[in-house]
Amino acid sequence: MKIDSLFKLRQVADEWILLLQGQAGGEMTRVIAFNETSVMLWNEFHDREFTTEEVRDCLLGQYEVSPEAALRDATSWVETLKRYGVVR
Amino acid sequence: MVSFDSIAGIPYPPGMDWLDFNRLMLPQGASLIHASVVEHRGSAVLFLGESGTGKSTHSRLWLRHIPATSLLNDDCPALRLPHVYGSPWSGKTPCYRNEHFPIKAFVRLSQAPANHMRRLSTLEAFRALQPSFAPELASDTDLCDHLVALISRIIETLPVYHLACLPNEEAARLCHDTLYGNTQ
Repeated sequence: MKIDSLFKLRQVADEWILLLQGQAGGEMTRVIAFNETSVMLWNEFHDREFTTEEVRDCLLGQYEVSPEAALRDATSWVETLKRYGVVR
Repeated sequence: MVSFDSIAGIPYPPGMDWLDFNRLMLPQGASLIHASVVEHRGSAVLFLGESGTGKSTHSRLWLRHIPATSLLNDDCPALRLPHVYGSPWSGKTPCYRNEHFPIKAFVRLSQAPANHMRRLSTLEAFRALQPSFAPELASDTDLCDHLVALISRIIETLPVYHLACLPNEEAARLCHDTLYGNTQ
């Protein structure tokens, strides 16, 4: 799967938000907030093909969590991005 | 007749279309914004909202009920933080003041059955501010980045509120007292 390159991660004041860029008007107002972990994953995967397993391994490399918990979090992150049309 | 050799400190080529001028402003950290603006005791309040939500109506309520208030612009003023500037574009109300004031606050309006005002979080403020800039600017990646940076600086340095309101005197007083204190 791959992240749609029209989505851009931008810092606004104290928040990281995902914007749908290059679209007219109201489209940009569907703003998605990112926490620190999501920002880390975004920087790792936003510009290349990746799998849920790679996201899991990335989490395992950064945090002291069990493989099961990491897979659960990775799946949840990917599913959320899919739901908003960010990942295809 | 007021002339505008420059707007927000940026030289204005005579007769230039407002959208072209906005494109020219953004890389310099300035922009036009769709708003009605009142000046009150030396600072300015910008009222934002979709067309028809009552921005001009709310400004007129301030002019009528809040002493020491004047209209700076009724449609399309210019921003260059920390100031808001009059412009040659003022919608239905002819009000072309080539003056600027420090910004007190941004207030997003919506019509409601009762008056209520609250300060917005970063994400709420972004959603409140972003639709008030020309949507055409979002189609250019560089301009969009300049716009997001400008909105970010607004949220970092100035308060953004939501005012759910009726078109009445109490709404203007609630807004004034929230921003300036109850000190008339």
